[in-house]
Amino acid sequence: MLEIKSLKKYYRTPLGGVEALRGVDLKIGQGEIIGLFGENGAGKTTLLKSILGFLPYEGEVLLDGEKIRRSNISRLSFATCEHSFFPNLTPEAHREFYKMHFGTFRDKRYEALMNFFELPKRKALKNYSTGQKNQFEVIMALCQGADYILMDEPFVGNDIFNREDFYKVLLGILEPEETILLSTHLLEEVDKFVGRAVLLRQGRVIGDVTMVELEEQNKTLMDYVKEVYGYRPDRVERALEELTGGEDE
Amino acid sequence: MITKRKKREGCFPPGYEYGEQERIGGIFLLAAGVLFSLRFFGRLYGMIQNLYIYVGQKRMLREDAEVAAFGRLIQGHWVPYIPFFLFLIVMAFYHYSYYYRGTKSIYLMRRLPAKGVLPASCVREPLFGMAAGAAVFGLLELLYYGIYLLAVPSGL
Repeated sequence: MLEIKSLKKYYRTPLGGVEALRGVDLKIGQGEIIGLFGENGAGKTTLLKSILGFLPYEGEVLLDGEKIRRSNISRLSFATCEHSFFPNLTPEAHREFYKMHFGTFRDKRYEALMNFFELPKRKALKNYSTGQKNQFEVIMALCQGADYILMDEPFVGNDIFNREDFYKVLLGILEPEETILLSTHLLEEVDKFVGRAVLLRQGRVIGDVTMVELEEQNKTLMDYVKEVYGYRPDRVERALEELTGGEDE
Repeated sequence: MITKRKKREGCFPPGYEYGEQERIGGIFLLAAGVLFSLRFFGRLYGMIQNLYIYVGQKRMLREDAEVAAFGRLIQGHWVPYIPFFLFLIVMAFYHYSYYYRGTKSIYLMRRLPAKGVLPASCVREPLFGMAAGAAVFGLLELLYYGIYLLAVPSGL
């Protein structure tokens, strides 16, 4: 279980400061596939980076009751749209690096995914296309052998077929104890992939629902998000009327 | 089997292109050695010349001839090495900044379970360079001490 308790994060800026996270409480059970949604600036990336210890924060992040330290950090992996690989190294060199540092590296899974997505293994990553880089980033996060796989907008720049293939493959290869926390804007794509949706807004969790609950309520994920966000469907119409209404008359 | 190249690569952050850095470091070290040598030989020549006088065409040792101690000849010998050592210190920080360039491999490095991998990757090569510089420095001093002993007239 990954427990986040009263997580707060404040960024100091020249103009004062920004409270990126305002007391986030979350429990993530092993084996869950969770979509983390929110508008730009909601705090999704800050939340993921705080969990991983990349940012100082107030509050607590516990993994099975223990703080995240060197002794248990390898139980978490990370795939980010900023990419965390070494651009001058080849995938094969990365495989050696991961095997050296992470004793749980999944070699067979690495081979299978690299072959499935037809990624060249001996080409330096700086020469990959953006889509290929994203794929490789996610592959390494999946092959590290972690229990909790955190992904921050990993598919920015990939085409839809590519993304759909990835969701299908992910669902197929994930083991019951592997947990995914996926931050994405692509709501309508991932609703068939995730089992639970957590909504962030201005640093707070404003929604937390399982797909089963939504199904019982006969709602789609998009319906739920619009409801929670207080989305007004006539907003665009009204704005257009204001802009053009006088001219039409 | 770990090749020489792999061993060399292991001194730097993963994937770091070190060729240019090695070249510049080599130039700094060579320049320091050359400057040290020029200063030493210049002072040695001056000292030797001051030991003699010319009587007609004949060169004769002065009666009050005094040989300067080796230490005086190499005084301030470490000064030419300062730019080399400063370069190495700057390189340690430059190695750290590598993890923010192009991608954010710092996120991977900060997740490694083994202690000290990140800082070691930044300072290993600069420390190795400092040791190499000190070794070159020491060898030159030893060599020039031998030259000094040979150059000093017997009996002095």
